[in-house]
Amino acid sequence: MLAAALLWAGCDRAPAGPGPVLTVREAPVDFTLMDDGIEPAADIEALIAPYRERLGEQLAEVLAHAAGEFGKDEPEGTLENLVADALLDVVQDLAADTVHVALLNDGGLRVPIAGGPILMRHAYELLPFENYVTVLSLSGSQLERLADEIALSGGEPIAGWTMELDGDDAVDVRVGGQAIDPALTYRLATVDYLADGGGTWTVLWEAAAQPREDLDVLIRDVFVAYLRERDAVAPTLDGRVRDANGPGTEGGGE
Amino acid sequence: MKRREFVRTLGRAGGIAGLGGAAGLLEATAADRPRPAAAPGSGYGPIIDDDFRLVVLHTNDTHSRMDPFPMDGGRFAGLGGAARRATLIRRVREANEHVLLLDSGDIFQGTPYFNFFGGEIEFRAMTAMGYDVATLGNHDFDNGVDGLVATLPEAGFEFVSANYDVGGSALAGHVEPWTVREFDGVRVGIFGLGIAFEKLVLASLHEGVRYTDPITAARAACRELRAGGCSLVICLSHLGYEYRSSDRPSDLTLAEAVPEIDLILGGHTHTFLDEAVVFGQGRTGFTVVNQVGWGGMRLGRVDVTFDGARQASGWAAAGYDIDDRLDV
Repeated sequence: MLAAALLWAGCDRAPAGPGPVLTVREAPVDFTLMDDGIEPAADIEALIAPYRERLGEQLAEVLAHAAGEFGKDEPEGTLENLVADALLDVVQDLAADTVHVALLNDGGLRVPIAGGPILMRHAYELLPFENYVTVLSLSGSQLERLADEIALSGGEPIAGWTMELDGDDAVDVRVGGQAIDPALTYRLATVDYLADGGGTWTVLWEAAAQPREDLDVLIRDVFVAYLRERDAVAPTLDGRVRDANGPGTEGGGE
Repeated sequence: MKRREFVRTLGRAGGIAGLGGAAGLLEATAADRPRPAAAPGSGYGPIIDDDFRLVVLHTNDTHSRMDPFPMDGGRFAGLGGAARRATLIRRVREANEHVLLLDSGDIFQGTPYFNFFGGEIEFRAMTAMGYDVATLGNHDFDNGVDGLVATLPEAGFEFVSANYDVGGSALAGHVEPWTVREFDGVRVGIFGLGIAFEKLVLASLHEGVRYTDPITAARAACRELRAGGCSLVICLSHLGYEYRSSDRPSDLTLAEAVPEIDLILGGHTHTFLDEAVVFGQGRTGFTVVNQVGWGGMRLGRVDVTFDGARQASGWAAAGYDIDDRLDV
């Protein structure tokens, strides 16, 4: 418990060359200094205390009530749906023009949300990163290729569009219920981290090089705004990402 | 990887109780330890009894964990906490005259303390603990160069990075490639190495800071520091311990490539090394690689002894796990 590793090596400072240059022996490192316990340092506690207090008040704010547990799953999860829906909903008020679809990444959603009050604390735990919302423009054919990249990872948080995963391919990709028109331009909301080289979606990086609309708002603030507007949110699965080999239950799982 | 040696771990019951203050430690050291034989055929005699000890304490990836992990049944519940770490550090300082306290980056991000206060409390606590030197991790750029610079006045310690070229950024003048500390005539050089920004840090967040090859930077730093009379060279690395691809710079590839480094205190990969890894053929006879996980759950300690000629003569590596069982 106390000593993770403890070793002693004497050495003779020989220049590089064959032969042993280390002799291991017992270390005279003093671990007795922990025998009486380690009381927290009072001055550090005093330093942290006012920050902790301010934090406690702000993090205790109730944003909305969760009617059930929101969790991650593949190909579709209730937590993914909640956050992607929040992005697509709130971004309409922020962006200059209509946004058709939203995409985030599973890895960016850090904890599940339990049923009951959703606190500001939970928003920070779920979305700790300082990622800003950005809106990219993609051609229909780019959007279809992006769907294939999503299929490779077994499903990701999306809103405004639906797809069926057939192995490594996405089929029957629809935006607002309509088949994709390769000639049309679609506006996609995501976060700057994914657009600017984070993650693995190369189509996003392509699209990010085209004219785009960077919004000066954090994904976490979007989520907070969405919840504050609502008394309650309920976990939903609507088949927006489904497995070609069966409805829901046959999906990829965790 | 053939030069890599794992050195055995000794348990706490190793018969080291009763070693008190600095004087007692040195006395016991000389009396209790067997003298190692000279390396066969090397022409070097046995080491001189060390008469000088430097204690290097280190952390990495503390990630804004001011408080112990909450008692929520999670894997790390009850571990860590800056105030406990402070007490431990102070006890080591009481028992030892020469102590260095170092951090290998990613001080920022991971709890709402950072989201709400931008790193201010992290730096203030580290200053109160007496940190000497730190390097920059990728998450230390999470509020951009400007966010970091704005918080730096709270940091009463130095930042070093030898492979981040900060000359064209607001960090110019705040981050140096290396620094030198002197302890009773023993000069200790400390330089930093940061990880490639690509796919980790957005361009807008590291604006003006350029990543350069860490191996090249490390060689240059060692050359300068040795020329400046340093008998110990410490690298604070945020490269990461080990990667599947040997092309990607890591602490292990660094130790292979730059034997002039004596201690590599690592970070980024959140690796809990239960045993320090030793490379045996450095300039001073060893390169020791250590890393202590993340979240302030462990305080690393490497003791280096020096002989009468002020040359490094041996080392010991250890780690203190900080948990609630330590509470009084």
